[in-house]
Amino acid sequence: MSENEKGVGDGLGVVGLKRHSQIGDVLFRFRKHKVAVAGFFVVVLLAVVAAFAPALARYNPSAIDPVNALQFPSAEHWFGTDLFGRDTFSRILYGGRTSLLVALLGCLVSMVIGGTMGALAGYKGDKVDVALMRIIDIMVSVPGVLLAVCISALLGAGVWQTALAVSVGGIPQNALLLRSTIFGIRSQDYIEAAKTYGSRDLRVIVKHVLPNCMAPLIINVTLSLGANILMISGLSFIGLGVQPPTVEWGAMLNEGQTVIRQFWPMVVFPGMAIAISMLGFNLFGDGLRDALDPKQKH
Amino acid sequence: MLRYVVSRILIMIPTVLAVIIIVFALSRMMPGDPVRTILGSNYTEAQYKEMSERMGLDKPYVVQLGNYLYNLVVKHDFGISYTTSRPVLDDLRSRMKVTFLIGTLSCLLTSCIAIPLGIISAVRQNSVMDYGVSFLSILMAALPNFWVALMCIILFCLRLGWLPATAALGGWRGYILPVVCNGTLSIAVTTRQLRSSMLDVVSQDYERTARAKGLSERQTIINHALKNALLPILPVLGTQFSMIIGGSVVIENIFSVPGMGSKLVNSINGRDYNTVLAITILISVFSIVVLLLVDIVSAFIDPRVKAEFASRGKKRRLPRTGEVASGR
Repeated sequence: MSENEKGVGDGLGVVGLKRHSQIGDVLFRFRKHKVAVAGFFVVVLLAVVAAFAPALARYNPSAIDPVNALQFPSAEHWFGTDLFGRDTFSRILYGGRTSLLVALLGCLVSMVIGGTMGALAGYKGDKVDVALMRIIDIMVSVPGVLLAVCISALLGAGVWQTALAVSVGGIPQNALLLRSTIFGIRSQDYIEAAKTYGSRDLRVIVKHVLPNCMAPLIINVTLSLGANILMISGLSFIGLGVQPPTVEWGAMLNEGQTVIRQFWPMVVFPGMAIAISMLGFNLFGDGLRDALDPKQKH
Repeated sequence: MLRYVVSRILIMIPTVLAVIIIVFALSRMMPGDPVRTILGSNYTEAQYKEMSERMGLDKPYVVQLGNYLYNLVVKHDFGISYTTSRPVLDDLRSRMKVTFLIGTLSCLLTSCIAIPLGIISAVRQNSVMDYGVSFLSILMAALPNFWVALMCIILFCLRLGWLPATAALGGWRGYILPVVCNGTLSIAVTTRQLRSSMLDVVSQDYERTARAKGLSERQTIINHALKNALLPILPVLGTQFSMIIGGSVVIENIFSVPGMGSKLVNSINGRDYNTVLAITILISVFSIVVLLLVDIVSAFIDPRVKAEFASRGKKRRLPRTGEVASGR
């Protein structure tokens, strides 16, 4: 299986001494998981949709056409039209853009903040660890949704604001993950060896600790992207988060809810979009976990 | 053991205080002016001054925080709602019951469904049943619960007409959908966790011993595997409980449940920060207490933790005895 791996796994970023064979192994294990591969394609599809929404959409997502308001699905409008006659299919494509962007931003922020906290706690140990873990304890004790709702209310609606609100809930998870990973790595012999031949802290962290943290981090990013999409649409659904004129799936569901009694397409399709992207990220993440961490089974 | 319980409770107190201080700070930073909200559009400068004095908003932040904490801890007073002008706690008392009732029921439902499913899919690993359960839990983990709620409304309330779409109408039947929809994600998560912890346990040596000494499959599962597999599920259920209570913010709005979640969104929109503050604190404290209880209960059940604390001060003995799973 070592012939065809060259260049295939560039995106995985797993760095090791034998670069090819390790990525090759991961890819081999990943491909055995048919469901995970399906999840991967859903994620790719989402990324493509987000990137090329203007080219793929048949209508302008905010073009109002009152004559054709609340049309059921047809050849003209695949998913029907909404209250103002806007094409639901086009709006879902653009909504994917918003969801993915905000989810990515939120994920990045929580990874940088939470990851730094966890890395510090894990690497330094002792007092730093105790202090940081107290902060994490406090953050964990407020349910994530509630925290996101409060921060969203505080910051107001918008892409950046929502990304921040969503990210706060992910900080403890990232911190705990990195802390426990680094705890495990810290006592390994190769770290000891690196220190013995005189490497400084920074070098040890960058060259030896971080590469060995990559696997759990990658898995976590994938899974939390899905969770973030859910959280964002939930916030937008209750009227916080991303609000019109920005197109977002949760906000679309909110509009659809007002006419749920007469008109189902506005409620069904945006929800399906959320569900499918969640499914994609979850399956992809699970498959990655199995592929990157073969010790952990089931 | 008592020592463990007391130390856990003592650790909880600063956490609760920190949560209150942080949430208080957040609520004071929220946009809008509560004094203006109460007075409406027509007011004089003097009226404004008098009102903000009465609400204590003219004082520095630290003093406000001190007053708030004092009132909260000593008098159990969350202040006055800016929209209804009544004490916040009076507004929330009945809503609190509703939210916690729905949360408890959802959590019970989660355990009742997830535990059997998790056991079955682990015991019959790689069977049709196992794949079915795995498929279901993957699907349920991906469906946003507010969307499930909307779909249920379309199906059960509008098409079939079996259940009311508004919780307050129709007595207990109105609460079926909120309870079920609130639990979907937790059921998925708990099922998967239990399956994997059960699979861990089943491959342990003591399981093989139990089978070798002639116990029936049923006995090995119930007497030996289940006890050890359920132990790591307890904290999962605890977290799920607090997630469910947090998630009720969204679900309660859909079904217009007269609980704290729907009130929270209304209060945010109405800039009624005392109520927002009270609800956030109540839910957070509640989830802290639940997690604490889970910790204490698991300590009582887990012989390893028990042994660690029982042996303290006495003669040291090795804590690992009997049928305790190593967990990995």
